[in-house]
Parts: sequence; structure tokens; C-alpha cells
Amino acid sequence: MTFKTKLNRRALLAGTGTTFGLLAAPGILRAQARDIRIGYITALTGSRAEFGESDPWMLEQVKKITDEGLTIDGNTYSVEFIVKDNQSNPNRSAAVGNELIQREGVDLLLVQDLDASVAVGEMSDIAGVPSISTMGPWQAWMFGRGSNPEQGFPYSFTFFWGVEMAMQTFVRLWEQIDTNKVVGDFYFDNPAGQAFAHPELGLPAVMGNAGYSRVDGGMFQFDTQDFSGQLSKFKAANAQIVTGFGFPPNWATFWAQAGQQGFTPEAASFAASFLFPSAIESLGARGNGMSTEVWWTPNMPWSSSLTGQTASQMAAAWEAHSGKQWVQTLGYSHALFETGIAALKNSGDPKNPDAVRDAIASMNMNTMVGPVNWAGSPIKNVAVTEVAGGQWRKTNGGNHAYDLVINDNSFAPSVDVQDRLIPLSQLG
Amino acid sequence: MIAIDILINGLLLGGLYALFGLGLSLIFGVMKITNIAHGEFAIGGAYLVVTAVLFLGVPLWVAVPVALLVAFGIGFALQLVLINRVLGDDPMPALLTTFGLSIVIQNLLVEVFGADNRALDIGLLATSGISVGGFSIGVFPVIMFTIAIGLFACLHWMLNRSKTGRNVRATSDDPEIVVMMGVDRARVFAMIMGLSAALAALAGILLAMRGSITPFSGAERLLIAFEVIVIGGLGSIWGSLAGGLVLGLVHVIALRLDPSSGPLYGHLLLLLILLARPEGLAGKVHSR
Repeated sequence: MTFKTKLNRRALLAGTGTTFGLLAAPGILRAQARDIRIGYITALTGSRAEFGESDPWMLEQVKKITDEGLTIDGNTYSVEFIVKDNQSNPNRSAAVGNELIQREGVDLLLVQDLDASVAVGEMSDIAGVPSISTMGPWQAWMFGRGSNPEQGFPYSFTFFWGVEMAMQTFVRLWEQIDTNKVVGDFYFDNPAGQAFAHPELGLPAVMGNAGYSRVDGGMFQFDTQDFSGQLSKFKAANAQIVTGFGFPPNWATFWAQAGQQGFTPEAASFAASFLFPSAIESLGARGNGMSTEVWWTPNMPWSSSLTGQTASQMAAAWEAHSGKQWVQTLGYSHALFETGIAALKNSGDPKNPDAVRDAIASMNMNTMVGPVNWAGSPIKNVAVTEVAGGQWRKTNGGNHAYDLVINDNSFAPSVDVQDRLIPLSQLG
Repeated sequence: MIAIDILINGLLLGGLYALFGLGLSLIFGVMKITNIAHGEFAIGGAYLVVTAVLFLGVPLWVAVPVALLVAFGIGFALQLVLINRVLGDDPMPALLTTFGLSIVIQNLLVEVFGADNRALDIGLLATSGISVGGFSIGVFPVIMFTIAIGLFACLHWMLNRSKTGRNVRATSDDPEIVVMMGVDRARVFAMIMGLSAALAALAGILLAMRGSITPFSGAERLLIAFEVIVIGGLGSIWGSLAGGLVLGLVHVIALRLDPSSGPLYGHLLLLLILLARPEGLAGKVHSR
């Protein structure tokens, strides 16, 4: 028999409240020790495992530096990372967050997953342990936790781009080709999908303002095996663009059915589905020309504050190690370590949570993903980063089956535009 | 017009669902246990072909039959060395063993292949459609459907006309008595598990050709397979086909009317069947 434990906000507050007193005592003991404990939460398994795939390697790279210890204000501290896999699961995220704070007594939490950043952000605020997160649009992180840009949070911070930037980038991509401006859209029913589908703030509004008419394909649930309903709607309305939000398996099913039913749009920009080259390759020849939001590329002019590596050097190192093509998550997972270690260094006293918190709040540094600026951000606790628009193109041989070509940099001035979007009919 | 479109799409989807249910139904019919690892057998089978095609460069048409044979062998061996040991009056040990297997297989797949999406490229076949009376019908779904119907017919023939089938039916009717008649029960069970694993693998391979899979795709397929055999009637081969087709139809109709409903109406159908006709569409009423 299984016992299901459900952690809600109320139970969490009560639980943390009672244990907080107990925590204070070992806290005094810990303060004497010259070792820093960093909790790192990521999705190594589960539906978002691709996002965490490069993390073990990245951690190794970072450890090469931190294993020598960090010298802060004349004191040398040893650094220990405690890595927890949240299994892409919100409940598990809360459990591992609790473990790291209560049992491991970490000094800083680094969170590389949207689900985990929401659950662990709350704990970090309650327990007074500073946390930095990334890999999810900041709106989902902030509004999902009932705060707003003026109010912010006491101890939790995030850096990522915002959903509106990705959506406007999509529209700018479509402006580059000739279409009848009819867009079919459909969305996966989860918090991020709901943000994209929001009638006033989401894609429907952005498309409406830009003069596109919309064929509403609705929201779909996990494990939907059949998109013939959406397809017949899009076909009937002669939609030449498809957009929305969903994961690679969803798109693979939709796109195969589209071929069978003779639906041939000119552009396909389906958020979250085309981030990883593996997803494009799994579409076979029909992956050619898919367009996507781009968080990070090896062509960015940035370098690491930890290793001094440039973006392209880091991507090359990963490719040499893994034998796989570079992935966009490399940049963000590296930047997460950069900001965390910078915060500890700048704090003067890494064992003092308030000092570390203040160091994050006043941070403005260049990382692997470009400037991460909390100090000058109009949105409290949020540093907004860049996002570009690009298209996957089949290569003529070479190391990669597909290359990501940048088509729009309105929200990513640091990357160069390489080419215009090519309509799918011309890519064949 | 729309009704016919829905009917075609629903039945074609149902064919694949039925195929997922077929192997599970076979096991339940003969051994009276459920195989929680059925979904992982399916996905594991697909990964066998992925390995052969993507990493070893074997042509697809060679890889598929080989993978089915390997799946049969693995199922056969697992039953002989593992599951036969825990079979008894209490279904719980077998249930837990297969549950454990499902976890082990899933994590092995993640360990070996990573969490990437994988698909089997069948070239133009994946996207070609034919136009019949103004309707576009996918060629590949029709092929899948034909394979499913063909396999049901083969299995029906095997169970009812061949000597092996007679042994299987006898074992299903009374596993105690057949032993006295000189039937090696352990071997019959092993053969059925092998067959079930091969059928699951085929369904998984077709799934990977139709869309894409990850090591985590198994759990969802198990749920589909369960619904198929419960709706159709536990242990009934033709019931599974009916269950698959009905479930496919219900999913397509529901998604057309309410795109955000997902598998909800399939689950509701299951509930309804359990309330109104717990033995399923084609099931016999069991008195024990």
C-alpha cells in the first residue's frame, strides 16, 4: 500500500514554522564551519529530463573550480554541492527542497526547473535561505506564486525571459514571409500553456494586435493521440501558420497527421517543442524548417565568469564530451552556477543568508547567457534575459543533422541575425 | 461528412489501441494476472528497433522482425526464470514483480538512451495520404489498422484451431488439471508471455513510427491497454478489438467536441462500463 502525502501551502507553512526553531540551533554551529553547502535541484529524469541532461557534466566543470575552495574576504571556504533530482514532478520538487533546507542545511539553493522553482521558491522565502532559479518564463514563476513585479519575494530570485518576448518574436518571424495571416493555434494544458493561450496576455492577443486572424484549436491534455479535430479546423480555414505550446511528442503526432491529411502550413512555430535538436531529428526530413524561440546559442558573444570559456568553446567541450549536438540549456545551467558563486563571493559572508540575499539583489554581471541584472531590474527579484527567434535547417552533411539559424533578434540584441525565415513550402 | 471523418479517424486510432490491449488481454486470459510492465515491453521493443536502425545501421525491414523475435525471447525467459516463480492463488506477488520490472526497464532505458525523443523514420509513408470520396486518409494508419485486424485473426485461429492453442485454452480453463494431461504449464505460460511481449513490442514500434517515444511513454500506454481490455471484456481476444475500437472512437469524438478533454471521456467510458457491465462488452460472467 502507498501513502500519499500532499504538500500544500498551509501544511508547508505549519511544518516549516515548527521546524524553524530547531533549525536555528544547528545554524549557530554551522556558522563556525568554513564550508559552503549549495543545494542544486534539476530534472534529471521524467518528462523534462532533456533539460537536465547536460547538468552532471556542467557540475563537473564547475567543481573543478570550486574544489579548490572559495576565498571570500580572506577566508577560504570549501564548497559542497548537493544535487537533487526532482523527477520533473512538482510534489517531488517540494520534497527535495524541504530535504535540502531542513536536513542538509544548505546556504544557497540553485534551481534549474520551472516546477521546482515555484515550489522551492516558497520554501526558500519561508526558511530564509536564498535561492536562484531559471529555465522558466518569469511570469509563470512570479504570478504562479501570487506576487507581482512591485512586491517581489524576500529570498527567491529568478533569471529568464518573459513569455511576451517569445510571443512577439514569433509574430516577427511570420512577418518575414508572405502568408494569408491566418494562424491555427493549439496549446498543451499546463501553467505555461495557459500563459501562452491567455486571451488577453497570451498569443491570441499578440496575434490579434499584429493583424493575424486566429483559428482556435483549443487546449489539449497530456497523452492526446489524435489531432484530427484541430487539423480539419485549420484546413477548413486555410491556416498558413501553426503555433501554440506543447512538447515534442505532441508535435510529432500532430505533424505526422498533418502530412497524412494534406495540411501544409508555411510556418510552424510551436513553443517548447523545438528547443532540442533531438526533437527535430525525431521528425525525420519533416523537421526541416521548424521555427522556435531561442534562449542561447554558441554564437552569442558571451563568456563564462568562472572558466573564461566563450559560448562556442563551452558548446564544443560539451559536444566532445557527449558526442551530441549542443543544447540551449547549456548556457542557462552554466549561468545559474555563475550567479550562485558570484553571490556567495560578493556577500562577504556566505554563511549569512541575508548577506547572500543582498548580494543577489544588487548583482549585475555578464554571464554565459549575457547580462543578468537584478540591481537595475524594474521587476523585483527578476532579471530578464534575452530570447531570439530561429529556424532549424537541414545541413549538407557535417556534424549536425540540423542547424539552428537565427532569424530575429528584437529581444536578443547580442546575437546576429543570420538569415530570414524561409517558408516551409520552399524548404521541401 | 464530419461524422464519417470522425468514424474513420476513430477506428484507425482504435486499431492501435486494440493492439496495445491484445497482449495484455492474452496474459490475463491465460494466467489471470496483469502485467504492469506491458507498457515498458512496448517501449522497450521500440527501442530495440531504434538501436538497430539508428546506432547499428540495420535496415528497418530487417530490424522489426528481429526485434519481435528478441522481444518474444525476453518475454519467454522472464516468465520462465522470474514470473513463474511468483504465480499462485494470490495475484499480488506477480503484480508487484511486474511493477518492479516496469520500473527497472524504464530506468534502464533512460540510462542507456537518455530522455531524448526517438522516432522511427518510415519516410514518405508516415505522411502520405490517400483521398477517398473527398476524405484524406493516412496510409500508415490504414496499414496499422490492417496489421491489428490481421493479428487478431491470426491469434483467434491459433487459439481455436491449433494444438498449441488447445493447450493454451486448456491451461486457461484449469491450470491444475492440464499438468496431469502432460502439458508443461510453465512452458505454455512462457510462450504466452513471449507472444504478449512481441505483440507489445510491435505496438510500441508502430507508435514510434507514428509519432515519437521517450522511455517514459510506457506508463501511458499501459493505461490505454488496461482500458481496452476492461472495456472489451477481461481475457476476451475479440473483446479487446471491440474495446480498442470503441475507445479510439470515443477519444476522437470527445476531442472533436471538446479539445481540452483529453482522455477524460475514455476514462468515463471505463467507469460506465465498470458500473453497468463489469464483465466488459464481450466478457463472460465469472462466478468465482
